[in-house]
Amino acid sequence: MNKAPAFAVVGHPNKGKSAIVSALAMDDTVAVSDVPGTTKRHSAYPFEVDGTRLYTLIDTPGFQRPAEVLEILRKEPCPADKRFEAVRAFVRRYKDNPRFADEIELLTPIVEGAGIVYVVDGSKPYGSEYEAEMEILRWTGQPSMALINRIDESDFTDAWRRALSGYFHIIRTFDPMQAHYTQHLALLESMAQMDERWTASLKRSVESFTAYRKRQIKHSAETIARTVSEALCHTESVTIAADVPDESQKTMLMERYKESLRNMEAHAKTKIEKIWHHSRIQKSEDTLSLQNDDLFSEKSAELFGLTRKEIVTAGAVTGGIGGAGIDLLFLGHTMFLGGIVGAIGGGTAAYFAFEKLSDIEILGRKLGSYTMRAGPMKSRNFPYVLLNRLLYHTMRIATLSHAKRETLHLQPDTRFVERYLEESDRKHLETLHRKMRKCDEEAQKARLSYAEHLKRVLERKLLSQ
Amino acid sequence: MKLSDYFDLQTLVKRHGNDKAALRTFGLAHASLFAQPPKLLHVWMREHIRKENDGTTPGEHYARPIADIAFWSNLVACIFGLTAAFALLHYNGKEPVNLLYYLFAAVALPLLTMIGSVAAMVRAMRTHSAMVRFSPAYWLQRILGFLHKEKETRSYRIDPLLGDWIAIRRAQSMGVCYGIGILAGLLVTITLHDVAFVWSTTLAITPDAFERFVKAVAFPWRDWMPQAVPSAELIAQSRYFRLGGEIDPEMVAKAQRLGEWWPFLAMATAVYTIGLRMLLWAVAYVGYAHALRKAVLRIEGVEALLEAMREPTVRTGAEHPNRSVGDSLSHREAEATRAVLKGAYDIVVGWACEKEKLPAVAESVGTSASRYIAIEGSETYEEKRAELQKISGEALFLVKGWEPPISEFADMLEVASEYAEAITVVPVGLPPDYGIADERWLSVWRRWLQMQPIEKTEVI
Ligand SMILES: Nc1nc2c(ncn2[C@@H]2O[C@H](COP(=O)(O)OP(=O)(O)OP(=O)(O)O)[C@@H](O)[C@H]2O)c(=O)[nH]1
Ligand SMILES: [Mg+2]
Repeated sequence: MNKAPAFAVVGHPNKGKSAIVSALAMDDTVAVSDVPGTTKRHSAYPFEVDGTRLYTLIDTPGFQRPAEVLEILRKEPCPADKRFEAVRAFVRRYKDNPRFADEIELLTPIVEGAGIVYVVDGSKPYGSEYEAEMEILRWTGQPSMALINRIDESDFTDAWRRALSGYFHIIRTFDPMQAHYTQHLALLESMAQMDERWTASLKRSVESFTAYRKRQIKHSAETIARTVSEALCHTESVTIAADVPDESQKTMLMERYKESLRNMEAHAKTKIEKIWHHSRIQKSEDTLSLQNDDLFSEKSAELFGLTRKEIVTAGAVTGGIGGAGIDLLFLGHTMFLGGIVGAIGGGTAAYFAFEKLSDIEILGRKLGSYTMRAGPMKSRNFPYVLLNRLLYHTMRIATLSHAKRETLHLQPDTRFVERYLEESDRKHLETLHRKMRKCDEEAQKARLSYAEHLKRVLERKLLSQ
Repeated sequence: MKLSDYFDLQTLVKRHGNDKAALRTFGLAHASLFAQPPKLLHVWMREHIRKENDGTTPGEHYARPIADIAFWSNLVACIFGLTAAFALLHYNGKEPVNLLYYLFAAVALPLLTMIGSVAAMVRAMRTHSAMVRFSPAYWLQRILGFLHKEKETRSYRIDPLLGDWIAIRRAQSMGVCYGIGILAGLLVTITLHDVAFVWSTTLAITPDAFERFVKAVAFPWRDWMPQAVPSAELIAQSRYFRLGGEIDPEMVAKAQRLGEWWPFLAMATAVYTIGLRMLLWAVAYVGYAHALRKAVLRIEGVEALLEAMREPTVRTGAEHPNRSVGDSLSHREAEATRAVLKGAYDIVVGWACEKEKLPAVAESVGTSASRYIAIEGSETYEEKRAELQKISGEALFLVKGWEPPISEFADMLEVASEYAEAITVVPVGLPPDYGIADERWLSVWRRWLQMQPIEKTEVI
C-alpha cells in the first residue's frame, strides 16, 4: 500500500491557511488569528482510522521572502527535472538560517513529499507579487491544487482563477468558516484527484468521514434523548424531622431541583460539544428558565425510608405471601389468589403500625420522618423547552466551524423546534414525551425510539448541507 | 454468561470502558463475534477480569449470597413439604385420612401457584414494575447491599427484568423442592404406618362423579401405570361420613384396601407438583438466561463499549496537541506612534503596484509628490533594490493595506531608509477607490512595523 498522503497548506500570510486546516481537521486548538505570521512552525494534523493514517494536513507559516528565495533558486541554470532537487538543496542549505525560517518551515514538508494546497484570499485583488511564491511551488513539481478562500465580502475570484490557472490544474473554492459537510467531502474528493497514488487513501477517508459524521449525529441524538428523559424523571428530596416543613426548606429544595435540571442541560451541552470536537467554545447564552408554578413538590411521611404507601403495599405483599404460600415468597407480583385476604390484613396492619412506629424514638430520633420531594416535572411544556434548547444547541455546534474563534451567541428561539420539525415529527415526539414521563421500562423504550427519531431528523438536516 | 459475570462486567465497563483504542484493538481481533454481543463481552471479560486472593472475582463474591439464599430457601421448601405431608397424613388409627386434604396441599395449591408463576412470567415478559421498590430486584439489591459493604460491589445494580426472573426461577426451584418434600413425606408415612385413605366432603358428590374426577387427574399415567389408578370399587368404598363419630364397620373391614390409594397420590404428586413444576423451572431458566443476556446489554456503558469495539476509531486533529503553534502578536499590542500624512512628499513609492496608477492612488489618499517610482511584485530582488536607491528626501510608501506586511517589504524599507530622510507608510484600501485603508488593516501594519527595527519609518 502507498504511504498515506500529506498535504501542505501553504500561501501568503493571513490568508486562512490555519483556518482551513482547523476546519478540515476539526480541531479548534489551531492558532487562527488576524495577525499575519501567526503560524511560525509547520505542524501535522493526521486523519487516522483504526490507527492507520489516511492522510495528513500540514499547517505552515506564510511566505515572507519569496522573491529572494526564487532568486537564489534561479541563480544557476536548472533543467526542469532537477528543480525539485534544487528546492531540496535550498532547504538543506538554509535550514538554520533565520532569514528563511518561514520558507524552510513551509517547504520542508513539500520536499518530503507532501502535496500542495495553495490558499489565496478571493476577496482581495490578485497581485503580481504572488507569482514568486507560485513559481517556487511549481519548482517543487509536487502535485498541487489551489483553494480560493473568500475572507471578506468583496469578490475577485475570477481574476484569481485566471491567474491561478497558469500554475494549478485544480482550483476550488472553500469556506473554512462554514463547516459544511458536503463541502468538506468535495474537498477530499478534489484532493484525491491530485495524484492517483493517493486516491485509494482519500476514498477511504471519505467513507470513514461519512460514517463518523453519522456516528456523531447518533451520539448527539442519544444525548438529547437521555437528557430529556432523565430531566423528566428527576426528583430531589430532603428528609425533615418536623411535621410541618418550613417555607425556607421548601424554597431551598426547589432551588436545588432547578439547579439539578440546569446542570443536566449544561452537562448535555458540553457532551454535545465534545462529540463535535469543540473543546474551547466561548459562548454566551441564557440559562434554562424554570417557572415556579411549573414545579411540583409534595411532602410525605416516611418510615425506614419508605413512604406509607410503600409500607402498606409491602405489608400487603407480606400478608399475601402468608396467605398464598411459598410460591409467592419471592414474587411480589402475584398478590391475587388466597393471598388477598392476607394482603388486606397485612396492609391494614402495616397502616396502623406505621403510625405507631413513626412515633417510637430510638436514641432521641424518631423512626418516622417526613420527606419533601420536588419533581418530577409536571409541566407539559417542559420537555419541549428542553428539546428545543438541546436541538438548537446541537444544530449550532454541529455546523460550527472549528476555525471560528469568536464568542458564540446562543439564543434559542422558542419556536425553533416548531420551525425545525415537521408536524408529524412533533406529534410523534409528543407521544414519546408522555411515555417517558412514566419513568418505567416502557419509558426506556420510548427514550430509545425518541433518540432514533431525533437521529433521523438530524441526519436529514446535517448530511444534506 | 453467569450472574457473577453480570456484576463483574459492571466493574470492568467502568474501569476499561474509556480506553477506546484498546477496545477497538480487541474488537478487530474478534470481529467474528460482532453479531453475538454477549459472547463478545464474555471473551472481553475473560481478558480483563482480575481474581481476588481467594480465587473468586468480585462478582462471584457478590453473587454468592444469591446462591446461598437459593440453597436455604430450597431446603426450607423441602422441609415445609415434608412437614406438610406428615401433618396431612397424620393417622392415629381412629380416623382415616381424608385424601382431599392431601390432594389440595400437594396438587391443587401448587397448581394454583403455578398459574401465578405463569402470570408472573407473562408479566415479566411484557412490562416491568413501575413501583420499582416492589420489584424483586430492588429487594435483592437491598439484601446484597446489606451483606456487602465493599465500595466496588455497593454500586452494583440489578436490572428489574433480571430481578424478576431470578425470583421466578427461584420460586420454581422451591416449588420442585416442596413437591419432593411432600412426596418423600408421603412415601415415608406409608412405609412406616398403615394409612387408611378416604374421601370426604359435604358437597353432594356421587362416587361416580368423584371417579370421573380421579380418572381425569390420573389421565397422564393411566395407560402405562394402571396400578396407580384407583378402581371404581375403591372409590365407592372409601367414601366416608363422620356421622356420629362412628366408623362404618364395613370400612374397617376393608381397611387394608383403603391404603391402595397411595400409588395414585404419589403419582399425582410426582406428575403435577414435581413434573409440571420442573417444566416451569425449565421455562424459567430459559427466561432467566434471556433476561441475563438482555440485562448485560443494558448495563450502563455497555452499548458504548460494544460500539467502541465495532466501530473504527477516528482520530483527527493535531499530531502534537500541546505544541504551541502560534505566537500571537496581539498580546504585545502597544500604542504605536502614528505618522501624520502630509500634503506632499519628495517621492512616492508604490509597493507591488503599477506605475501608471500611482498618482491616482496617491491622490485618493490625499497627497502627491514630484517623483513616483513603482516596485512591481514580479521584479527580482536585485531589481527592486536598484529601484530603491533612487529615493531621496521624504518618502511616502503606498502599500496594499489588505495584504499583510511581509519580511520582504521590511528588507526593502531597510534599504530605502538608507537613502530617505523619513519614510511614511500608507496602507491603501481596495481598488477601484483606494483611499486610506480600513482602521482594521492599518493597525495590523502599525503593529507589524513596531516589531521591525527600521529607522525613520512610521505608518500613518
Ligand atoms: N470571514 C472569514 N474569515 C476568515 C476566513 N478564512 C480566514 N479568516 C480569518 O482570517 C484570519 C487569518 O486566518 P488564519 O487561518 O490565521 O490565516 P493563516 O493563513 O494561517 O495566517 P498565518 O498563520 O499568519 O500565515 C483569521 O482572523 C480568520 O478568522 C473566511 O473564510 N471567512
Ligand atoms: Mg496560520
